Parts: sequence; structure tokens; C-alpha cells
Amino acid sequence: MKFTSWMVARREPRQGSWQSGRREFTVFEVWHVIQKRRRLIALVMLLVTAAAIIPGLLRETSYTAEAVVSVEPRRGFEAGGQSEMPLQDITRLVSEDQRFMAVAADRAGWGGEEAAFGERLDPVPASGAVGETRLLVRFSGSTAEEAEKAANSYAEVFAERVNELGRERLVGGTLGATASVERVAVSPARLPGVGLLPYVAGGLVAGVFAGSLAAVALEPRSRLWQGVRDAELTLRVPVLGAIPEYAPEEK
Amino acid sequence: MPDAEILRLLDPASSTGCHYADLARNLRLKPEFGEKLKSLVVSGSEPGTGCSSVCLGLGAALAASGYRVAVVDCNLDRPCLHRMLGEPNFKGLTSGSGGERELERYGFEVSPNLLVVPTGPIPPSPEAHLNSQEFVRAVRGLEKSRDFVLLDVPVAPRLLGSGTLSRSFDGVLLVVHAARTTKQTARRITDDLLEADVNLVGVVLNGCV
Repeated sequence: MKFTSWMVARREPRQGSWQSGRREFTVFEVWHVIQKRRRLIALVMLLVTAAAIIPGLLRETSYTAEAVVSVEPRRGFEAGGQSEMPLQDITRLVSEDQRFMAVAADRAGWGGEEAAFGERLDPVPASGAVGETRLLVRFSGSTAEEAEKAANSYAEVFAERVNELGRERLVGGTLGATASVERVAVSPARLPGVGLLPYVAGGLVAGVFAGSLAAVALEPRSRLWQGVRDAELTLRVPVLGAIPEYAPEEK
Repeated sequence: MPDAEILRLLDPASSTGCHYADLARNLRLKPEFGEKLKSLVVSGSEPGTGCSSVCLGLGAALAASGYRVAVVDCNLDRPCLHRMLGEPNFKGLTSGSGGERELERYGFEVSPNLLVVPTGPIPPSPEAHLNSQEFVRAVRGLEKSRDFVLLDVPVAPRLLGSGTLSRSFDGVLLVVHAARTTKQTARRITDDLLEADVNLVGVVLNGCV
């Protein structure tokens, strides 16, 4: 064994002075432990990733369809001091109508509860041309046909309701707008695999972190001295020799 | 008569002896070796680390390099060097600490240039004997006739409790067993030795697989 003098110069503590940092792990020591226990970390990573993927695999496959509703100011409507209602308020007003969701679900042929229908629905306001606003109606269904039908049904019922409210005169303001389905939803294609990606990524990151923690926690209790370098990094003093096991036990 | 394993230990040309030769070479590379480092206390992190074997092996390697070496068994509660070498323990360290004759005369030559001094008769108070100035003077007297003195002493926690053993000699060599000593224990002992301002020359990793 060659004794590396550079290790002595770097590691040997100054005699007569107590270095308060000795009782703490250095980044270099942690990295050395992680490198030594690569297999343990890899195993933990695999286990954690497998556990993280299970919810993704068990998750129900869903298809998302999107229809677009265009809302524009009523033509020829000239405000005689009456204010135009913003689209957010229109959406809120329509969605708060208890009958609206029921009508949309019924028209879509939804067999489940209205609350479940509402949970799968995701109406997103978006900006359109000048003076126009749009509503992106997204629905996540178990099948492509279900998603398409539900998105279109909601879009149609929404447009009908906006037009209906426009014909009715509201107290405190006038809904000076008309709505129409700008684009109907079509049967979406399934996108397999994309849904699992976040689970895999999260599992890998969590697995590496958990494996590293386990490696660092197990290291002090270890009796696996892997040679001179390992001993020097652990003890931070020069290791002058490594003697193989040969002698009978000394009591 | 020492058994075959001990003979292999004392033979620098053996498969085991070459490792001790490396240890001796690394020790000789120390700048203070020979002048400021003439006596070395060899202690283990816990019982069974192989301090006595390391003392004999290192002593034999240094002797083979031409140095006149003495190995002194200071384990007064568990003398073992004489047993390992198959020699009696009627006289030794405790006999020579009285100052009547040099300690050199109470040992036996195991190989050319290698003197081993057993403990001798065990006194009623071993701890007090190891903390006495007579003991220190006797070992220092050995340095006049020998180039290097190795002291096989009790484990490090007891070494720390003895100011004489830990500071009256030129340095301390800690022995750690690769298969028995946990890293946590070894790290703690090393930290304790350094914290006590002991001149920790280095560590020997014994029992590597």
C-alpha cells in the first residue's frame, strides 16, 4: 500500500487544537457514502417508483373532449347607460342555475349523479377576438363518446341559457350578449402513458432521496470498512496500514 | 514456542508480513519518526481488535528494516504477548520498573533486533503502576538502547483515563478491526482522542477481508 502524503496534508488534524467541525458530516463524506451504497439506493428507488406507479395504473382511463362557446355583444345593442356583464359573471350566473347542470347532464345522457357530472366538467374562460369572449368547455369521460357528448351538451345548453337570459331583462343590468357553439367537440384519442409520467418522475426523485437518507443513516452502524480510503474518509485521520484477517482471536 | 500464525506474523517475507512492512514504511515516512517519535502507544478501539498482533508485526517489520525495536506488553490485567510467543511471564515490565536493572534485561529476543518485554508479575494495583513515573522512566530507559519502542496498552477508553499512557510517550497508534468495530464507535474514539489532545499518529485497519 502506498501512503499518499497529500492525504496526510489534507486530513491530519493540527495537534493541540480541537477542530469543532469533526463531529459533523461533510458533503464529501455524504457523497462517498452515497457512491458506496449505490445498490441500496437503486433498490429503494425501484421500490418507491413501483409504489408510486400503482395509483397511476389503477386510475381510471379518461378521455377529454373540448367544445368552444363564443359569446359576443348583442348586435345593435346600444347601452342607454346600461353596463355590459363580463363573461365571468355570465358563467357564474349560468352555473349557479340549479336546473342548468341537470339539463346539460340529461341532454348528454349522463347516468350518474349531477355532482359527478360537475366534477368532470372544466369550463375555462378564454379571450377571443376584440369584443368577444369564449368559453372552453372540457369534459373528462370514461369513453371518448361520453366526453364528446357531454362537452357538446354543456356547450349547447350554456349558449341557449345565455341567449335566454339575454331575452329576459335582469334587474341591475342587462345581459347584452349572445352565445353560440363555435366549435363542437369531437371524439378525443386516448393518450396513453402521459398520465404515468408524473408518477414515475415523482417516484424516481423520492426514491433517490429516500435511498440516500437510508444509506447515510445506516453508515455509522456499518462494519463494512471498504479499505483505507473508506477508513480515512470516515475517521479523518491518516490510515497507516490495512492488515488482512489471519490471526486467531485475542481474548 | 510460537505457533505457525505468529511465526508468519514475524516473518516480513510472508503474505501477512508484507502488509506490516507497508505499515512500517508509512510510519517511517512521518517527519518526526526517529527523533521526536521514538515511543508509540498502540491501543485498540475495543477489545479484540488485534493490538498485540499489530505490535508484533510492526515491530518485526521495523526490525527487518534495521531498527532495534522493543515491544512492551502493558496489558497488566490481560497479559498476552508472552502467550502468543510461548514464553514465560515470570519477569518483565513490572520487574524492571523498580529501577534496579534496565528493562532491556527483562525481555527476550524474538528475532534479530526485536525485543519483547512481557508484563511480568501482576501488581495489586495495575492502574497505579501504569500511571507511575517509575513505569515511564523504565520505558524511556529502553529508548536509549533501542531505536523504537512499541507499547501494547489497554483499549482507548482506558487509555484516555490514564494521563501517563496518553501523554507521556511520543504518539498513539489506534487499531480498528474491520469486521468488529462499527464506524460510529471508531469515529467516536478518534474524536475523543483528538479532543483529549493526544498525538494520534494514525490508524491501522486490522482484519480486512
